[in-house]
Amino acid sequence: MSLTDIPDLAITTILEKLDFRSILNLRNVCHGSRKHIENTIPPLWISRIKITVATDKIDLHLEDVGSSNYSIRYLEEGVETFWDDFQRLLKHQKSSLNYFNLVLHFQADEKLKEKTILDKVYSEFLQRLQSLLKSQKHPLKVQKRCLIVGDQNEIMSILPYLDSKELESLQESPNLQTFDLHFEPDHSSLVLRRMIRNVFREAYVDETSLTDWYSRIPDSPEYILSARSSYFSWITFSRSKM
Amino acid sequence: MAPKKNSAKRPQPSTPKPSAPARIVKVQSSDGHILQADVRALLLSSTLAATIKGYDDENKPLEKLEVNNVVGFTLKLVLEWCEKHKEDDPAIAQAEKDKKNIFIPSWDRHFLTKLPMGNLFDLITAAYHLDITGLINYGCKTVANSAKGKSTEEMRELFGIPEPWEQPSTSTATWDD
Repeated sequence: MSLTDIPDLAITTILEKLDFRSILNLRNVCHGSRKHIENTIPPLWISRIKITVATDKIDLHLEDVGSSNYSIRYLEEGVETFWDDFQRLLKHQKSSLNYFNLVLHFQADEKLKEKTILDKVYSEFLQRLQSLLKSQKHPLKVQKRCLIVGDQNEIMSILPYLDSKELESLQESPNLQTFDLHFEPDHSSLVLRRMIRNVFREAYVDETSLTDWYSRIPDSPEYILSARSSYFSWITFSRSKM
Repeated sequence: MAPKKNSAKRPQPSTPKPSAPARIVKVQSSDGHILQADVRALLLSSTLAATIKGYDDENKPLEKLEVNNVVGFTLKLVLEWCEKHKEDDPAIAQAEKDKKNIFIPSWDRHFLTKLPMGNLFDLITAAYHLDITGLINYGCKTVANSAKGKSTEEMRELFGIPEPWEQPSTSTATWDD
């Protein structure tokens, strides 16, 4: 007896107990398995998605609610497969994520690459991510922390893609607590901090020497938005109760 | 072998503990093998439980149950599993039914992983026919565990699915219609 001979219900139960990587591989085993997966869309309960983008590869790191974790690597020629798989993942994902991390990764020698190449890779990636997230019938929900990591200058160049629309698509869940921007510090340029300062005006330096800014959230009397920056490496936006 | 106890027998007042005397009945497989099992073990199967209840309701002596869709070899495995689990709280299996990550106890892990995949599929199929939730849970989880980390090629081999001759040997997305 082989997998294809057992009752459909049994296959469905087995699929429900598989992780995403195994579902992807099983999808290619035979036409029947692929069809079955497309018809039943086995549910996934992934708690953390971490995407690390480099100019020559993308790593998709997933953590299941049962705390098993694994990575799938897509090399340059497999970028389209990444987008196919990621789209599938969004379809299978049934629960809210706790964490969504996006890391725009730089190899040390990539700093030497032409900035336009890097800009192109990352801004194309973000644009595509944004439109994919926007096109979802059920938006990706993030409960606890959304984190974007990149080079400061790079973050500057992607900020236009992270404006309210991008945040909305990630932040559809009203409970998202924190949104982080981490960046490689560029001490010669404080423009990112300066920009936030311009938006938020007054800053408060707290006991841990972090700079905090606060702002009201439109239509939300209960919560305020705080932006907190350490001198070097990150800016964290949090939702806190008044 | 004749059954030791008869269905007409009432529980003894001297044995109030849950370990009531085993009520043994014969179970016949689709290929005519006759096995024996404790009724409490058989009650794990919703299908067989309904049949047994039918006998009890009509006060008929239950001597032999016929299982027409499971062969002797597989039925023996089913009964071995049920015997081991006859004291289980059925609520546990129900609660684990839709869970992705369930813990397989060591006895079950040993029992299920030692089986060749073909036999395990037979066992899961029988568990579905007989509606034994706990065995379905552990059986399916064992199959899922064995697929974990395997490439498409390895899964094909594991699950006994012939390689489609038109398919290239990479494990990345193919089959584009």
